[in-house]
Amino acid sequence: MTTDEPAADAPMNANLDPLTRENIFLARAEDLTNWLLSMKAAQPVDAFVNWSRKSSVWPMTFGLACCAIEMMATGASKFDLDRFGSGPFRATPRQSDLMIVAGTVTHKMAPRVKLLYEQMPEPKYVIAMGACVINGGPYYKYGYHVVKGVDLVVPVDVYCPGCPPRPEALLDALFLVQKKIRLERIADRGREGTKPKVYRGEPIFTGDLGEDVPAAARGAGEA
Amino acid sequence: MSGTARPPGPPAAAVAEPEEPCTPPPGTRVSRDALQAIQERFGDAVLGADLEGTPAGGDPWLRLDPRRLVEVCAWCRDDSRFAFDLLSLVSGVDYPEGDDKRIEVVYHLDSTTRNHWLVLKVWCDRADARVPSLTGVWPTADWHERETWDLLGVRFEGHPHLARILCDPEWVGHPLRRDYVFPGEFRGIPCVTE
Repeated sequence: MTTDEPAADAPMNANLDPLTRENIFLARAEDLTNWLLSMKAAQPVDAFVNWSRKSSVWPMTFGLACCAIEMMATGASKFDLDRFGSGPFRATPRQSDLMIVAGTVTHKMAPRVKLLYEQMPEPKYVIAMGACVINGGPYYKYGYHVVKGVDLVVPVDVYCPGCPPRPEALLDALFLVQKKIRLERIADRGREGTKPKVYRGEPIFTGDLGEDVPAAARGAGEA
Repeated sequence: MSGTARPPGPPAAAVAEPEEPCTPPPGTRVSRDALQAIQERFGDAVLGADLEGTPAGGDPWLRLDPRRLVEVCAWCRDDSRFAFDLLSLVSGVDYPEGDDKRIEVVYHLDSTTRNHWLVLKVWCDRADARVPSLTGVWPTADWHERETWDLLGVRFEGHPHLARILCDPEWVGHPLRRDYVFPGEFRGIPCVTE
């Protein structure tokens, strides 16, 4: 036992700000209560709600191309997305908070991406992962089939460059999403323009994905 | 260095390949016997040929009459000497310039039992590209032909379901044609970059 050690009756982490030190997981309930009580009027609720939301950002299981391999690596044990509360990759948009668009978005896939995004409950976040998703990447000029940026299809919160990005880069993008969540205010919910997102497109989904193969394209198509 | 220990004997490079019923010449697996047999049996169906190949590794090929294509391919599949039981590739090449404007449809036939292959070609008109379908000979031709229709606009007659397979069903045009023009937008999403 050294002399630097605090007295036995001192509360644990008494001198730490749980938010700034990212130490809130370790805080005991009374420390958390004291910290919340010390905040000003409307802030404790925001802080607490945002903390709980940012600590359980559930991504959607949604891989489009090679970036999805890196996304899987990020979720696997070596990088372990679960350390940051994002472990459960949900297999349905209804239970997801975060859509990681991991891979080339083709024009054929774009309506599906839009549909999945619209099926997610608010508040929802989008990470554009990889060069293809950001602006078409290697398919920018001659890729007839590639959407030149998924922000033409859905609003994007964080861009994660790379081809493909390493898992550390995707983790960094997740931290940026968490930072964004932490800075939100409940009073701003539902207001336009309070969330900085990039969206260059127009609403394209009309509720009808159409037949699998329309009659016009079946057999005798255009020459 | 880890790994399994090699059993005693001559080094691997010196092991002679087993004798096969249709022995290919060294350095290639193209069935020259099949090239010759097709020319002998279906002489009137062969419209052109390159029996030498190219030094860079281009395979020899035969150009067939489209009307005889199904017949020749069924024979290639059934003849026990060649036994081409796998259609490994159907592709197309667009030649929009020159005296013979055409689209070539290229078939790569493989034999998993004889371990050799064969390249057949068919020419068709660019304005009205039609080739008989090989789905009756090899079922795997289904998706290959759909892809060739999708990207090059070759219509395979007799195909059970000739729909686009890669592009969106509402896509216009065939992207691998040389004169293909990008659409300005698709489903409200701009396609062309400045």
